[in-house]
Amino acid sequence: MTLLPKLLLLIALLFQSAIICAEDNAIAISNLTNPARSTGIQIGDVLQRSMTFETATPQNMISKALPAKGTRNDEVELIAASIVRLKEGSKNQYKLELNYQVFTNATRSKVMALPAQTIKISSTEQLVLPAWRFWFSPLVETGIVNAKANVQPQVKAPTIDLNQHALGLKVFSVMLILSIIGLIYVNADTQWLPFCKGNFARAHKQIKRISRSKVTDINRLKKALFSLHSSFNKTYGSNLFANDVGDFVSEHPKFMPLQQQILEFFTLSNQSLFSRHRQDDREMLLKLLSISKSLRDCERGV
Amino acid sequence: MKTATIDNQLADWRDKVLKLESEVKKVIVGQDKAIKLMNIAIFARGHVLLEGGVGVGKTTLLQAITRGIGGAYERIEGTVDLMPNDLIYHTFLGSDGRPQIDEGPLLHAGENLSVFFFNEINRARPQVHALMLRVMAERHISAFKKEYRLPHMLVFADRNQVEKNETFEIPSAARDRFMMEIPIEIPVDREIRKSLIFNTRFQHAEKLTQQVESEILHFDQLNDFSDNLQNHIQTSDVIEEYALDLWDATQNPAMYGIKLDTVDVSKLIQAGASPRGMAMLLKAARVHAWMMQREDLYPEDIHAVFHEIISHRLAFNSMYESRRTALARELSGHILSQVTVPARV
Repeated sequence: MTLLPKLLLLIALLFQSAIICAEDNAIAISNLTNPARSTGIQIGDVLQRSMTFETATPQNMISKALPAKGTRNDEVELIAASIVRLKEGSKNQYKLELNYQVFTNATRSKVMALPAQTIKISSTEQLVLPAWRFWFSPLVETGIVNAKANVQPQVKAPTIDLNQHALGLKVFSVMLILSIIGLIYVNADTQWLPFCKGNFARAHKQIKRISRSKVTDINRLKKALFSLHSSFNKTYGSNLFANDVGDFVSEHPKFMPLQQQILEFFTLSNQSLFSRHRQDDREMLLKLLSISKSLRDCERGV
Repeated sequence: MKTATIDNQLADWRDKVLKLESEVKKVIVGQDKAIKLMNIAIFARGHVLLEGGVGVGKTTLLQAITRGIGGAYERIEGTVDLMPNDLIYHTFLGSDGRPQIDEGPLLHAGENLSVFFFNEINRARPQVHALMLRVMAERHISAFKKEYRLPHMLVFADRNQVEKNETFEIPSAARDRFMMEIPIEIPVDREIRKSLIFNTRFQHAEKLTQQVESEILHFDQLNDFSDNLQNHIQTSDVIEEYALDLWDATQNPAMYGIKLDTVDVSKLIQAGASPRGMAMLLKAARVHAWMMQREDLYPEDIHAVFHEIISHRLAFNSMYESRRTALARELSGHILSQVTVPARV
C-alpha cells in the first residue's frame, strides 16, 4: 500500500520534468497581437492573432508544422494559417498569422477562448501560444423563435383611380383603329387589301405609277388609256365605248354621278388614240389621274 | 387654200346628205337606221342587199332616195325564168308589125342610171346572178356592138328570205360583191304602225315619193366626191390594228374568246370576212366619220356599219347555214363586244 503513492509521485515528477523540458525549448515570441476587441464577438466572426519570432528553421519546415486548417477546438475553428518570412539571416524572422472563426450557437453570453497551442517547428524548437479569452455574444438573447410570431401586417399602398383614364384610352384606341382603317381604305393601292382589288383601283394605281415615272416612254399615255379602258371593259363585262356609257351607268348606278367624267374620258381617249390632233401627254395624264381617282373612289363607295 | 376648199366641199356635201336623210324620213317612217345606212352606202359607192319581208316599203324607200340623188331608177323582178338577156334587151312587135329590139332595164338609161333595183334576186337563176355581179363589179357591159358604161349605178337587191321554193341561194362569193345587207324591218313602234295603215298619205307610193325634194345630190358627182372623202378621213395606227383584230376575229372567233350558245364556235366559220369586205368596211366607216363631222376614224364609225357589212359575208359550215341570219348577227355582235381597242400597247 505504501508503494502506490510513491509510484504516483514518480509519475508526477516525470511529467513535470517533461513540461519543464518543453518550456525550455520554446522560441521567444517578440510580438504577439491578439484581436482588438474581446467582447461582442458573435457567431461567424473571424478573429486573427499574429506573432513575430526568430529561428534558424527553414520556412518550409515551419509551414509543415503549422496546425491543419479546419481544426476545431471548443467551438472555435482554425480557418487559415500562414507564415511569412520578414527577415533573412543566420536567424530568420517570421510572422505567423492564425485566423479563427467562432461557431457556437449559444443563446447566452459566455466566455470562450482562442486555444493555447504548441507548434513544434523542429526537433529542438517550438512555439508556445497562450490561450486568449473573449466574451461571446449571442445574436438573440432569449433564443430563436418562429418568425411568424413577429410578422407585421403589411400596409397596402394607396392606389390611383384609373377608371376614367381607361375609358379615355379605350375611346382613343377605337378612334385610332378606325382612322387607320379609313386612311388605308381611302389611300391604299395594294391589291392584297380586299377593297383594293377593284378594276378602277388597279387602273388608278397603274396610271399613278406611269405619271410619276421619270423614265421617258413614248407609249406612257397609251398605257394609261389602255389600263382605264381595260377597267371599264372588265366592269361592264364587254367592250365599252362612248355610245354605251348610258347603258354602263344604268347597269352600275353608283357611277351615275361620274357620267360626265366618263364621257370626257372617252373624248380624251378618242383624241389621243385616233385623232391627228393629239394633246400634251402630261396634261392628259393628269386628267386621266383625276378621272381614275374619281372612278376608284366611286367604286369603293367613298 | 386647197384644204379650205376641201373642207368647204365636205361641209357642203354633209349638209346635202343630212337634207336627203330628213327628206326621205318624211315619207318613209320607222326606217331611220336603214335610211342612214343607205346614205352611207351611196357615199361609199357600194351595192346593197336589202333584207326584209314583202310590203315593208323597200321600193318606196328606193324611189324616194333615187329622187333625192337624181338620175334614173330601173327595176327588174327576179323570177325563175328570168334570163340574163332580159336585163340587156327585150323584143316586141313594133307599130309596123315587125319585131323590134329595145334596150333592157340595165342599159335603158345609159350613164344616167343611178339606182338599179333587183327585186327578189334569189328567185333568178345563177346565170342572171353572174351577169349582174359582173356589171356590179365592172360597171360597164358590151351590147349591140358597143360598150355601155354605168359609172354611177348602184344596185339594190332584195332577197326573199321567207320562201325557199324556186329560189337560188346567192353564193358567198356573190354576196361579197354587195357592200351591205341592210335589214328593212316592220317598225316596232305602235304609233308608226298605226300611221302606216291608217294614214292615207301612205296609200299612194308614187305620190308619196313626189314629196321628196328632187336632186338634192347630183348623182354624177358622187364618185369624185367619194374619192375626196375617202382620202380626207385619216386612220391612226390604233384603229388599223383594231380593224385587223376584227378581221382576225371573223376568221377565228374562238381565238378572241367568243362563245355562242348552242354553237361550237371553233367549227362555225368556214370563211371569215374577205379583204374586199374589210376594205368596204373601212370605206363605209370613213363615210360615217365624215357624217359625224370628224376627220379621223373612230371605233364607233366601224361599229356603225359592222353588222351590215360583215354579217352577210361570213360563210358558215353547212350544219349552221340554215341559221345563218341569226348566227351571223349574234357573232358580229360578240366580235364587237370582245375585241378590245386598244388591244395592246
